[in-house]
Amino acid sequence: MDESSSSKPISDWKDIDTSYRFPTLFLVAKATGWLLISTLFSLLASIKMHSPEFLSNCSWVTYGVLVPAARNAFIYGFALQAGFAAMLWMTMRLGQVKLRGPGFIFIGMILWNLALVLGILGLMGGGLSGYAFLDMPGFVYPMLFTAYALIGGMAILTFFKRQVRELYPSQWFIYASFYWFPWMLTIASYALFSSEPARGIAQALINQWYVSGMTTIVLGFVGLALVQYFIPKLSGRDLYSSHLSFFAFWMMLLFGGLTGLLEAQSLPAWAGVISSVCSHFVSLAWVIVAYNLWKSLQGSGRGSDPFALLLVRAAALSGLVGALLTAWGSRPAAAELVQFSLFLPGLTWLQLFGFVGTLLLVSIYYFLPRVTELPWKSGGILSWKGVMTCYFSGVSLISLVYLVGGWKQGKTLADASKSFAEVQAAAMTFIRISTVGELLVFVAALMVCLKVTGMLIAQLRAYIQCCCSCKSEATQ
Amino acid sequence: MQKGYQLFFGILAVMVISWLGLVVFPTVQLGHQSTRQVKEIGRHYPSEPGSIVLNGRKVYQQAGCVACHTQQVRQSGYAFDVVLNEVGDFPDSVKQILVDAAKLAGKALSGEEASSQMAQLPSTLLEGVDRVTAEGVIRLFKDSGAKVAANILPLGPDIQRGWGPRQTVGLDYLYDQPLLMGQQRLGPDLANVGARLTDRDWHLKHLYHPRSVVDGSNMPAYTYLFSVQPIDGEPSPDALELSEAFSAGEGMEVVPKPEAHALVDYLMSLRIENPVFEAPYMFTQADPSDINNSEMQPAQ
Repeated sequence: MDESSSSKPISDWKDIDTSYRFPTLFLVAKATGWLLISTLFSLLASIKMHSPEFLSNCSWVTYGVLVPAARNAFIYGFALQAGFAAMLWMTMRLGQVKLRGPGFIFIGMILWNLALVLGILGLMGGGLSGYAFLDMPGFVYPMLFTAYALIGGMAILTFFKRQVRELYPSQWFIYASFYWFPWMLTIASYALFSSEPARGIAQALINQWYVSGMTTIVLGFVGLALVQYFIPKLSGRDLYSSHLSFFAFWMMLLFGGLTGLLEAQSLPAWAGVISSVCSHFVSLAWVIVAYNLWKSLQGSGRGSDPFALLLVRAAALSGLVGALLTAWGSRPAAAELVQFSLFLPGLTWLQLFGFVGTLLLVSIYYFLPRVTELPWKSGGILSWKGVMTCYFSGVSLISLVYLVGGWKQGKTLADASKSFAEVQAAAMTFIRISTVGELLVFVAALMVCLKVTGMLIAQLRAYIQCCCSCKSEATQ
Repeated sequence: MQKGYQLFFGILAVMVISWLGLVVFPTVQLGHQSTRQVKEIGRHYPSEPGSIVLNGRKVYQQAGCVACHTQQVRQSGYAFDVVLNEVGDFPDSVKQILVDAAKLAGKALSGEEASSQMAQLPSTLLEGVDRVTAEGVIRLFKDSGAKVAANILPLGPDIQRGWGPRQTVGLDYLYDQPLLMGQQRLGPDLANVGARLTDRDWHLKHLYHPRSVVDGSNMPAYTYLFSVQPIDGEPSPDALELSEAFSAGEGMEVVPKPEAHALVDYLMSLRIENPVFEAPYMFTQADPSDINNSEMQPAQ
């Protein structure tokens, strides 16, 4: 597909990778740190769901504060930062071009993390906005936009300077994601946080447009770019058909921004109908992507890294199941059943943690040693195999218990003869089991964090040694 | 598609479609809603919330209550009660129609039973029938001089649980800034909680320690909204009267902070107490004793 078939000398690849070394190391280190924070908040929230006395005397850590804090730390802290790192990697590798403006990216990254720290602290300290995926206080979004302009601007500049002009399908998805995010962030934050914000029920539609765009397009496309990059790379076979990818890309782009508006009677009727139709189109696009990947894998054997390939397949399956269940859940009869239940968080876990999160971790595992020229320290409990098994089994367990528990909770909720205490009891067993999954994901995040920190320290040490030896050579 | 600018303009075009469809159009369609005169209550609905309620709303927002509670009542359809309000000048003909109407609804009614129905007005002739049956029965009475009406009864589990007399509609959220409709029901719906639970002390105790008033509740205690202080001479008039199991200890009292009072003011302001054009129902004054909320009754 890309660099594998190139006749580029190895020294050029080294130049390309070196240009990317420190921005990516810091981006990934920050991202994994936020993943750890997010999973810790999520674990605490999960415990509070069945043990309400736990940490009950502090306004900073109520369940209602921990859940959005975990969600925002995951989306803006981990997924987008690790996504930037992965997208920059693919831009450089697929375009065979050195990274432009690493200094600007570094400044953008610092500003991004500063905004995020202020945002999460503000959220926990009483500034919770009440809008899903935009839960941080309004002052954070201009900061995020400015930081993004630096990072995304340099990524787009690098893209336009590419030496290989032909575009690979992953690049379409990367650039749609790069363009969509600032557009969506600006519009939604202006509409909801300006001095004359949208009124009444219109806020729900704008907020859902943002949630849907973030899940399906911005983060979903990062995952789709990665899956179409990794499957050919790890299996050693070309992508079966770029035409199928092309079709799926435009279908998802056109309909992906309008999905997820579950039937809500307070909303205009057209919202539910449009969301249902669009969710079905997106699921069809997902089936096309899955077929394309399946055909690419046929006869490929175990590939160069069987475990990574297995994880990528599992992540793709999570994305496919997530899209199919979203389409099913948007049908009026099903929406009536699963609305307001744990089914929705189950879908979020499947799509964001199962699909996007897994692929981002695989990307860290894959490209960080290549960029730093340092191998991962192997062995023991800190092996990538152990980390990823822990992560994926945790995510699968949480998704499964929320989806099944949500369905059961929804069924009990729809039966008026059952009291609300029975509705709560129907979900409680599943909620308790989900805490085990949360613990597994937290442990995995901790191990990833340790591994990346180890890599960062080793890289800094190597850099200092290199500087010292260069200095001593110069004095001799 | 091999050129960067093709990709850029294609994505831009799709972005514009998405923006027009889900941001501009809803803002134009819904962003200019205004209050509406509702004849049943003789005033405009909804009313603008006062500053105390807004303060309470802020506490609700800051604590993240929206993570567990929705403020959306769902409705699955309608049923109708057919009510005879006046007999008019032709009682014999009305009596015969009553017998025929009962047959239409699949019931048998004797002449004597029809007379007794006519003697106690208003009299409910049919309960919970569908629209076609209700209209058919009303048509029978058309030329008899009797006055017959169909009362609209919203249906659905939320309504049956007593979470509201009708479904919520966009108009109910006109002054909600930010919108706190919620998407999760780990706790019960609160759209009509002010009308359902009218005891202020109950709300305060529930916030201080939910299990002191609702057995087995999984709601966290919001103790940071209360001051636990030593009793200085006379107990504070505002102190909560808690059972021994939940009291703060010998010589101590639990006094709500202003935030707790504001939050309760907000919760008690959440009411759906009138029909609107999009969601009609038979309007009667709410009777708290009719509330079907067994899971929120005080613990024994």
